Amino acid sequence: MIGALQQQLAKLPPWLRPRGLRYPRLASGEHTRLAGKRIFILPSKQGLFFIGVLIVILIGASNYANNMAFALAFTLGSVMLVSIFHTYRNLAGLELRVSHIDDCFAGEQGVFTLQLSNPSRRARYDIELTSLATQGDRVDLGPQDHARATLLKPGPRRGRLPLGRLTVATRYPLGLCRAWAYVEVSAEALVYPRPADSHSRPGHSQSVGEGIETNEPGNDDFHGFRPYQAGDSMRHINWKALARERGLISKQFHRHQNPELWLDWDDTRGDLEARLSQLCRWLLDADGRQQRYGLRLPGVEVTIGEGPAQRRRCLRQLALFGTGGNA
Amino acid sequence: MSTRITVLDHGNMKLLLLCLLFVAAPHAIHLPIWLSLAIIATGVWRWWTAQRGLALPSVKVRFIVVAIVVALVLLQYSGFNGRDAGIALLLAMTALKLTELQQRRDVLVLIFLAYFILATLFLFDQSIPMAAYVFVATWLLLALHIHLSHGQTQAKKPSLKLAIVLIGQSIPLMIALFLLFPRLPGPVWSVPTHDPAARTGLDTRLELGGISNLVESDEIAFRVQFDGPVPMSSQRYWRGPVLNMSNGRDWFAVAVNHGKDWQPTPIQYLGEAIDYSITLEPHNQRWLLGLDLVQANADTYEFNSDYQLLNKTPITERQVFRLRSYPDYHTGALSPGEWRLNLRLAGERNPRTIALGRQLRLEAVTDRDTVSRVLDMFRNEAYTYTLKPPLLESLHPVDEFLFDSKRGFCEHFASSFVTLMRAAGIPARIVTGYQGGELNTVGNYLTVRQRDAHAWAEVWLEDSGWLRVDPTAAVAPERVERSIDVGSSRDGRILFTAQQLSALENMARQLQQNIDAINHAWNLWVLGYDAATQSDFFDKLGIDIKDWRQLAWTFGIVIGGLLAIIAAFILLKRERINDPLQRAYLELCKKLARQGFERMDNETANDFAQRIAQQQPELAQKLSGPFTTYNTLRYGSAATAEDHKRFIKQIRQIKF
Repeated sequence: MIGALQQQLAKLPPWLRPRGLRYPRLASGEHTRLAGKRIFILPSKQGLFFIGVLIVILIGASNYANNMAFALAFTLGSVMLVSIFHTYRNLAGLELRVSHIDDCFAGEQGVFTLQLSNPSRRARYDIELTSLATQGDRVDLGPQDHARATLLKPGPRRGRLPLGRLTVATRYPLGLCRAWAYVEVSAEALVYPRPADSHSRPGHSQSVGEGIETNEPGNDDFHGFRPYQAGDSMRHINWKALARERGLISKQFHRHQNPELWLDWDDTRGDLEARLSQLCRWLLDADGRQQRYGLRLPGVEVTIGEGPAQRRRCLRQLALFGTGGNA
Repeated sequence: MSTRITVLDHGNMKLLLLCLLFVAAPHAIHLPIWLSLAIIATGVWRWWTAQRGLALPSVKVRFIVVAIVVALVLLQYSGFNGRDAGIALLLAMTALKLTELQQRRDVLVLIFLAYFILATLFLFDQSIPMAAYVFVATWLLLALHIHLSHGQTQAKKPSLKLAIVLIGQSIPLMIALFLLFPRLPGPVWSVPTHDPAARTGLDTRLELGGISNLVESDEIAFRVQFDGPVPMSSQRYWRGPVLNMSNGRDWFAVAVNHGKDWQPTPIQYLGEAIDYSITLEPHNQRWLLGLDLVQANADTYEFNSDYQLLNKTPITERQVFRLRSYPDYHTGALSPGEWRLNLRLAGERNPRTIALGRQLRLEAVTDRDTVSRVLDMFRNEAYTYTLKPPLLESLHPVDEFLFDSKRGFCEHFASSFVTLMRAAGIPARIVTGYQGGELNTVGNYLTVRQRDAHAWAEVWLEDSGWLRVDPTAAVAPERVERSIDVGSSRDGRILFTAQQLSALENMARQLQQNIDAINHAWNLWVLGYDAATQSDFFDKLGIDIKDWRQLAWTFGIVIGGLLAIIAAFILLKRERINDPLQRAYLELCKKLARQGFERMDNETANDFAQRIAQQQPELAQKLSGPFTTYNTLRYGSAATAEDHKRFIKQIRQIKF
């Protein structure tokens, strides 16, 4: 019931919402502190049950004029009241930051890694992080400690996948009250098109470019060594050098016979999604062979390139193509 | 509520079972042994299955077991009515809950049941030791509650410490609630009186030898706090049941038929009043024990024609009464019915006593003379005051005592005296009650125990009305001055508490008095806080307890105020920033603020640096180093303490 009410309230424009629902927006790399004003607190189901037990004890105490039973009921009731502040304190001042986002292909799950920091000298326990349609996480934080929480959100469709409203909650210490705060996480994962089956690749399509793509290994001529750079393939690492403790060194190849490849929208068939899926497949294949490739979509062109940066650039275009988003 | 299932691990299972055992243990005194054993066996069995990882019984088996247990409890108590049966059932059901203990929900249900069981412990005993026991149990239970609330986390929570902190912080609130929460003047549903026979105390029937049984008991009958000075021991006669009818051996109380048109003359209370509060232990009878002679408040009590003070209902709980007495009084004339009843002899029994009485009447000049002649006889002849008088089994027990054995206790002296008086034509009756009491010098109150039980006589004389005469005092004047020392009285020989005590005895006595004073204060102030005392308390605060609005306001202001104070204490406790990194960063921000760059609350270090860069690029150049270092140190992974120190030094050196 409370959840339904909150959802209704959250639909209001921000200035009309209760203060707790005017949550901060958290973009990637930023951090926010859960301010006290934005924290809700209400008894949990367990808390209501506890209140029920106390009422029964009170009725009995009244009837038997039993002052010690009164004292017990009042002690327990006061403990519950005091625990509200402890629950609140367990959440207030907590710092939150989106530290890393893993994109995914349609049908898989985007992985949002959040970093929580506890600036205070008290440990914080049982911090639950949940968001709509996600698998939540639960963390403990020592004094002035950091912890990572991972939320998995399914990305069924291509496009942007924001984490959405994140609920940071706690029931510590007695579980009788639940305190929670909302953070609107604007940081988003990208959902790439689902790669098409390899078999569906039409043979004639790689017509554009200087040569026919071949699959055979050995086409690359060894050219020399250079220090390892991020993005170099593991297969090209000089393992012998590493074994001799000379550090990470990559072998370099020149690719005379491995032609540059244009992944072209016009070579694909079917509806929009099918075409993007096809392009995605080719892109992954080309990347897998360390081929240099470019991407042409109607109105968009990614120049020839290689490596993880190129791969990311192209996949991004595929993810956002036609969604109206500014790639 | 999360419905995640958590099977308790062995350690937690052990903690839970031990905690439940601790909570329920004091109930073992009241439960039938088979039930106590069955409950413990269930706990042990549950532990064993947890360790072996055995499956729990099916629903069907559990249902059958529940039915059997319910039937057994039903048989044992012949019904579910009453406190004891209810508690037996509660404990049995708690134990049966163990057989399905598997999920977190079950754990919580058990913990909540345990809180309830703690409250039921007070139905039997509200003494200080029990309160302390329950306090410890509450602490352990709260710690367990915290510990088991979130089974998932790996972190070791300081549950015990937090539980005591929670209790500590809630005590002011608890005291306020205790004082302010409205008490009802009477029970909501009728509370059955329990085991009336189990209490020792006075009776409405006096058998020869009856009081000497009471004297063996050290149990406290009541405590008295005097407003003024404590009266002399010889004045401390606490009036109980008045016995006016005899069958020649035993004495009873019967109602007097005053006859038609009888207008009782009002009692004249003379001299100074004595005001006091008496805290009566429950005796399941209606009578109160007032000092002779009580001026009764007819609204509160019933005052019968024997001047006995009766409560409206039997006293089943410890209760405090405010009374006023006058040691000097004149009761006025007797009704024809009283004349008849108080002169009546038991037919042909005790002929020698009756003959003696008749003879005394002829010899004596006045009724007063008759009284003093009999007292002189007790004083001068070889009468012995003893706890173990010979059994008087003849048809004429008073004759046997008075002329043959001459050894007796207070009831022997009182009953033979009254018989003699009646034979001499003087209206007389037996009064039972307590005499004396020990002064507790710590709390300056009187403790009257069962061993102070006593029987004396009252005679009606023309010039004084009913007059108290204590024939025992004639035989053993020490009885009236001091208590009987039951511990050292042997072979029926009565020893009185010595005036001179050895140092060790004195210390022991002092200790005992201290303990009793604490108990008395506890009874009076904590357990005795009821609807009436609460009303007085509110009166003193100037609040009308009957006006619910005033009550609600007081309640709201006090509780709200206390909550605000506690919240401030918990939340505003100054938390020094113990993070040197954060402190250094804030120091940098302060320096920048002096340059006109106020960092906004929601601004990250990067945003802040960028803003400065846009406005003052040359300043930004100077700062880019510290800002980058701050970010790497704060959010990067592998920063050493050395790096931190270097950063802090760097910040210190920045000057604009």
